[in-house]
Amino acid sequence: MKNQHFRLSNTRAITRRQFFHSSGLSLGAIALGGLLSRDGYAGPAPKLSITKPLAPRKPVFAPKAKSIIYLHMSGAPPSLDLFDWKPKLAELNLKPCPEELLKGQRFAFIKGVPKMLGSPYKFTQHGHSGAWVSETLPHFSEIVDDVAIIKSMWTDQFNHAPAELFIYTGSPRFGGASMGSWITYGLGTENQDLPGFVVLLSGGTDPTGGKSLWGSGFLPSVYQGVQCRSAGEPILFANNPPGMDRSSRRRTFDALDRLYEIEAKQFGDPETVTRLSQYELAYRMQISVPDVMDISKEPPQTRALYGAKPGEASFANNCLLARRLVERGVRYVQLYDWGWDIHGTGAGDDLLTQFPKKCRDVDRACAALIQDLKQRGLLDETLVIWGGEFGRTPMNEARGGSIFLGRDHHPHCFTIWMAGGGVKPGIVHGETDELGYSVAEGKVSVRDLQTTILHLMGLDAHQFAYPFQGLNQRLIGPAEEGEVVNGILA
Amino acid sequence: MKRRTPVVARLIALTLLVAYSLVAASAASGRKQSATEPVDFSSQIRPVISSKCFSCHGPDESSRKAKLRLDLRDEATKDRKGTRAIAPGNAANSELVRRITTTDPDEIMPPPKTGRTLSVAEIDLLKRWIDQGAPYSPHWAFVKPERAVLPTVKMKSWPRNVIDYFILAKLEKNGLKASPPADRYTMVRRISLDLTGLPPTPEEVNAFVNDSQPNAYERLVDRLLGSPAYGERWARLWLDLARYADSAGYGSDPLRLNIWPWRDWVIRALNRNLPYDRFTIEQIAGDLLPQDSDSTDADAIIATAFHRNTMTNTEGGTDDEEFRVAAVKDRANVTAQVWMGLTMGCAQCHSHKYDPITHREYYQFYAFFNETEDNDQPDERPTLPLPTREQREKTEKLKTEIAGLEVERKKTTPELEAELGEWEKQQAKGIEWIPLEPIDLKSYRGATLGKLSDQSVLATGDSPETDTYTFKARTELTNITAVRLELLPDASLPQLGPGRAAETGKAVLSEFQLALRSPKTEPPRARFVRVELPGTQRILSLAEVQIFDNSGNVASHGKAGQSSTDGGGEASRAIDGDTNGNFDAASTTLTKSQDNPWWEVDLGTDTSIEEVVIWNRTDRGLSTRLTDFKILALDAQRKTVWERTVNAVPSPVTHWRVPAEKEVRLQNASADYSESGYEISKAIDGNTDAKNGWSIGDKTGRAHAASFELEGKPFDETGSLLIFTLVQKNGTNHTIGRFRITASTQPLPVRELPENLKTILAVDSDGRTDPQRAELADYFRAFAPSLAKVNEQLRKLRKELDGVKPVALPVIREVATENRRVSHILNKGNFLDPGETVEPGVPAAFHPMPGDAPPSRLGLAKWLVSRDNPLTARVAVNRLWAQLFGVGIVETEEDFGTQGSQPSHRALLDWLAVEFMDDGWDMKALLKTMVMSAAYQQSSRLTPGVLEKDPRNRLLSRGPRLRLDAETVRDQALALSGLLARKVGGPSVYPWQPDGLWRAAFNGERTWATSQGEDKYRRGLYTFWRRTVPYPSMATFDAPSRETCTLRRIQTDTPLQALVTLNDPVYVEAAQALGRRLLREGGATVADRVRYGLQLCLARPPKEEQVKALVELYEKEAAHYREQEADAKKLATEPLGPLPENLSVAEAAAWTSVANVLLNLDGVLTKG
Repeated sequence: MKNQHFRLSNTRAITRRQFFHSSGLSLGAIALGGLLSRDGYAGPAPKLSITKPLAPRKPVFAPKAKSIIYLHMSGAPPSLDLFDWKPKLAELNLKPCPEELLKGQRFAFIKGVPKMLGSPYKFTQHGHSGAWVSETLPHFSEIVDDVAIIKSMWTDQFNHAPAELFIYTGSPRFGGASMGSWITYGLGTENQDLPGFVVLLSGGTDPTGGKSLWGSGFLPSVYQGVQCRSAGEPILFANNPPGMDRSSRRRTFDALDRLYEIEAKQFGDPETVTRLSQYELAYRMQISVPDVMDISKEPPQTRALYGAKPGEASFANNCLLARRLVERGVRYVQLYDWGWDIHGTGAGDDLLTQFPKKCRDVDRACAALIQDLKQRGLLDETLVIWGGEFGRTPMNEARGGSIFLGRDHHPHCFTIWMAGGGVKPGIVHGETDELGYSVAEGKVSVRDLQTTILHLMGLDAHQFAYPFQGLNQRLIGPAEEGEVVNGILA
Repeated sequence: MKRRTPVVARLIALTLLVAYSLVAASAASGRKQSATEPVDFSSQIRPVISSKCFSCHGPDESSRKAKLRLDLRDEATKDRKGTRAIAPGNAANSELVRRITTTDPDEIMPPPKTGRTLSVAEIDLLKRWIDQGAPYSPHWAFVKPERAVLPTVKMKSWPRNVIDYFILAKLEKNGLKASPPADRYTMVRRISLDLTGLPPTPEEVNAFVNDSQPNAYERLVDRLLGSPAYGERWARLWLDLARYADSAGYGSDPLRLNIWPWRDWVIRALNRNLPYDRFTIEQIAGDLLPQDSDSTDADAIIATAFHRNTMTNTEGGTDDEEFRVAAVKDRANVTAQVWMGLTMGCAQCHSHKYDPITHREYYQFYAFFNETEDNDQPDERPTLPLPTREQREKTEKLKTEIAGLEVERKKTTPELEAELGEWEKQQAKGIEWIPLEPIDLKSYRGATLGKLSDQSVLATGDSPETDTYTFKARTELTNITAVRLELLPDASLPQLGPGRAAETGKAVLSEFQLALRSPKTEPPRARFVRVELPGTQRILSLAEVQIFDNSGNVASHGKAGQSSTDGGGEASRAIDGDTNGNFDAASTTLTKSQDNPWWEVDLGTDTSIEEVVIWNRTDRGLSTRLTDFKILALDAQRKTVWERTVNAVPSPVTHWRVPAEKEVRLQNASADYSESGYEISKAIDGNTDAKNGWSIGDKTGRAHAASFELEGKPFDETGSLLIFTLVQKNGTNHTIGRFRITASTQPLPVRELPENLKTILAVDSDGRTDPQRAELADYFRAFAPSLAKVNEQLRKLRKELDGVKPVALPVIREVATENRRVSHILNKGNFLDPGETVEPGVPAAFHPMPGDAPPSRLGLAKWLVSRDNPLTARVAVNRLWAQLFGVGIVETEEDFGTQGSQPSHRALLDWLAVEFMDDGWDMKALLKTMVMSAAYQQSSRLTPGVLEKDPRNRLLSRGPRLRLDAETVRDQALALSGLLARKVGGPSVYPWQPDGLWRAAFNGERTWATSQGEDKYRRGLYTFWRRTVPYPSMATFDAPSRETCTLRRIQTDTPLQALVTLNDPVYVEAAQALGRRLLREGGATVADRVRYGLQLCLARPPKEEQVKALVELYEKEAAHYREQEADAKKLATEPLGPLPENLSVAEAAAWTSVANVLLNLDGVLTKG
């Protein structure tokens, strides 16, 4: 009977405390107890369970959202052709750029005096909010009253990798912890049979910032994002070896269970029990992950709503997966869709062919995600964010005399939208100037965005820190920057 | 410390470092401090004020509030308008005490917004300290270590060496006892894994366990320290510190295939026990060491690649200077971190908030590194060629042969004399050049070419940056032996030309080509045009293929296909009308890496083809993939009607005229003048790169000429069409303004005489000086008929010599004196915002540079390993300690500054640091001292009392018990299964990994070419390390990406790790091999084999209950697989391969299951 505590099937319930108790050891009351009950000098750090680093934890103050779905359009979509309607820019279409816009500016590719580029797409107003949306997003225009459009984002990075790293890790250089890692470190996750931080990719290529965008940096690697694939093996090495079925795998686990028990008794190491519990979790994940990743289990009408087709690595599939994941209690789901780098150097990246194709890839699915979450009553507790890593110029890039239309990288302004979990629906926040060159009103920095996201999750970005290399590392960086964007809060 | 504290405990401990050390310090001592007991500033006060106060009241002037700094006593205690922050001896009168105890939210310190609060205990400590006079002392780690006096201990029989006195004294002080010694089985496995990263073999286990001689353990330690595996195991640690990787990092993360020789240097250096001071100096400044003829000079240069592990950025629009500066900062930061445990990088934007490093001092430190040549270039220059022995031998042999032939060639023979005389006569007569009349002229880039009355051609109109001209002429001659290109001045050209370059009139000819078309030739009719790339594992990537009939490009109406498609590079992209060669523009095709890839367009119907044009891709230096390829035109029956083999890389475009036209090979090009580096031979070498061609340099304003001999006898009928192509890729309008082409029928040799030869020949032969004679003879030797064989042989050998391409290791090299840079303070770290200039220097808070140290990296390296350096030895000792015991004596290996954690045994750390220096920085000796200690040899078994009093083993009340690190998990599985290949060093290898991981954006290098043979089974440190896509199983076990320097790996314990060792095919293969090994070596019965397996994997005698568990598993599995033969076959053979004969498939499958369990045992994954 006393051995029962070591049975694999029970390890989930075993806490470290019980282990010590049952094995005749008692928990070191002073130091360890002290550790568990005290906050870090960094301020309110979450209380962590010792055997379950991903156990759900209460945030500092009441959160508005329980989970996040972040839809990232890697390459940076052109806001001026999607949300930010500029009649004046249309007037100046293909006229030389005013000198004052060029002075002291550095562009990735533009050389000389470029020509202004009015959007070739029609804009109309939609919903009660009267938000302008271009004809490239017919489905999104139906949900404008569910989202807050922020036209006044800006950043200080103008190359893809650093700009993406800046948004997701708080630093344009490699080595930081990503937003999903921070949030699962702070809040744990609700479903212990699934990873807490899941990453899904579409568009044929990884985002430019690479895997560092979901790395845990200096945080323990248990908090790094787990990349799941919508086609093939959903997580690496989830499948048993060829020829080994579930019954055979179960028997090997039973043997491991007995052998770990012997080991634990022989050496008295609580870590043996922890490791056994991780094996048990791995065994459950072999079923739970493929199960949640199988969208063929969704009714046909739901798949049709998203435009999802089982077996593809598409953005639509990933949106549907994101809903299935948050529905099961995954804390943070990050989507990257590649292919938005609309320079106009050729047919593959121009504003007239590639761009509308990208819009078609994502438009229906984004709208479906919001509608589906709403229908299921999940939108209130799920924060959905859509955006790129920077903006694009109001000028035509014309690199090397290219005859295709496109826009260069532009850090000074861009549009994102947010919905659900504590965000005021049906509003437009901020404005750009009449040419869409810089923010005119309601500036929102990357630090502000990060602060706001953490706030909606119940975390104070200024106090939420982790000591590393002599510094209190924070998502918002070391300087006193980052304010909650109150204007978009419900 | 160490020990299997669960991840979260370690995590919390990190978060709570400071709180923890306070709690532990008082709790461990077991008594409460009384009001009179002296408070220690360094261990008790500084940690509190540093973490709670210094960010506003510390060394950084820019963020300092109220002009108050608390890190200096004078400042903290000075009178400030009647109040003092700290009034020594009088806490009640100290403003600091008032502010930390007030309840007024506007006054309280630290401000609530910072999230920092002081505990009651901390406030009490601060008050008592002030009452005791507020004594300050320097931060312990910034004071030079002194050899500590050995503490006295009660249990005198326990210590085996000095280490143990320190450990035991502390244990006794805390009422603890040491654990009993571990048994010999445990020790042989522990020490083997620690010193070599490999488990002991069964023979090694038995040998040690049965060794009854004295000093058995010491001899074991010595043997392991002498094993080549020692260097591999400890190199692993150094690679993390050096941020070593096989790719360059940043967005595109291109492969860096030439850095591995540095990794091998580390292994060699460790194996030959290079002293740590020398190890340091060579890596930081090996290039600046005095060249000493009998030393291993190349080795010291190789060592400098330590700092070439910085990332380089080749993404579009990046500024080379920005990323050069980033690399220099990284070098400064990594140097401070790795050698001194200082977080100096904080000071690149502002003065350090906690440690005494100002913003200015940071850039003085940076200035040491700011004088190196490298500049964020894709080719990673400067590099050091590292020929292999074979390459060196080949080079030597070729050079000797060449030298021999040169001597041969120099000989003067009567035959040569006669030939020379004959040639001189010919020269005196002169060469008759027959003008060729252009009948068709074309500029590919829009210049206007017009014929003048003297048959010369003048370019007018648009003046493109680069251009290609074609010149067609019909000739009745059939015996042309040579052609001549004259560049002529013209009044319409800048400086009279002959080039079109604005203001200079310069011209550069990249390539000169001639083709011949028979008068009766019709263009061939073809339906398919095909590009083939013969060879193994090649990638075909094309930007555009244009096919012209007499009206225009017909390719765009065709249908394209190719052998395979990768990364979305569809075949149709080569006929989309877009010639952009940047892959990111999505107009470039791409096949997978495969044997003999091809691309083809079907034109739908037979078409008369006049010309084929191929545009290559242009990005990331990948254009070189398109070389040694074939273009074929096939008719509807797929019969070849035209083909070309092309060696030169289209850059970006090459044209071929199709109609049965013969390429006429030109040879022995000669010119009256060539600019150095732009010799005329480069105009016929097939290389059309911008920087490769013939230039007349600044000799403008007059005529020049070049002659070209025709190879063979290409003409067979009169009325042939001659087609000359003049490729001009140099750029900046260096195109030809006026030229004429003429032909000669004279017998060869036909040479354009250089100007100096003309002068010599103008002199009567008797009037020439000896040097003139010699010069003439030398000139003639190049084409003397009697020397033809020797010349040809020389040409061949030189080409072969050029073909020897050793690995070129990126190294550090100082810029030439005239190019020295001025270093500035960079405001907020921004390279575009330089402030005052600074000279190289070290922070003032530390010892000065040694007297003999130059103000260079060499001086800096000497400063680091100076006896006065308070940190270098401590940091090194602590790092090795942490590898053995799991946690350093200073837990924060990365931070010995004021924010770092307090040492658990400071006197021991100092003793070891001094010993290390006194002992000549001998790393093996240091490790030996550690592993010979009784502390290290304790049993790691946890007992209730121990766990309660020393939960994290910071007091070393037991031996270390740790999960193995990522590389060791792999190495051990391969070793136990018998698969491990023991080859040391060499290029990184590609063991199996899941398909499709290398999909990073912005990069063509997407193919992980899985290694074959023994390279599949090499130790983990040889696995190819791509920063943005780390090898997945290794990353899962906490190996870092190496984008930045990693001072210590934080261990985690996750379900994903279980999935790796259970299911990753690498581990499945190991289980298969281990299963077969048990069958082969394990004895006759199931129980015997299980026993053998347990003994092999755990290196200790198994318990019968363990045997029973696995025997039962085996029986169930065997029964299962006897029923499931197909499954059994898969499990037993995929991926390892067919079973040896006579082996039952079901048995082998069942043993695979058993072995899979064995490799996942806690006792296997753990060092106990």
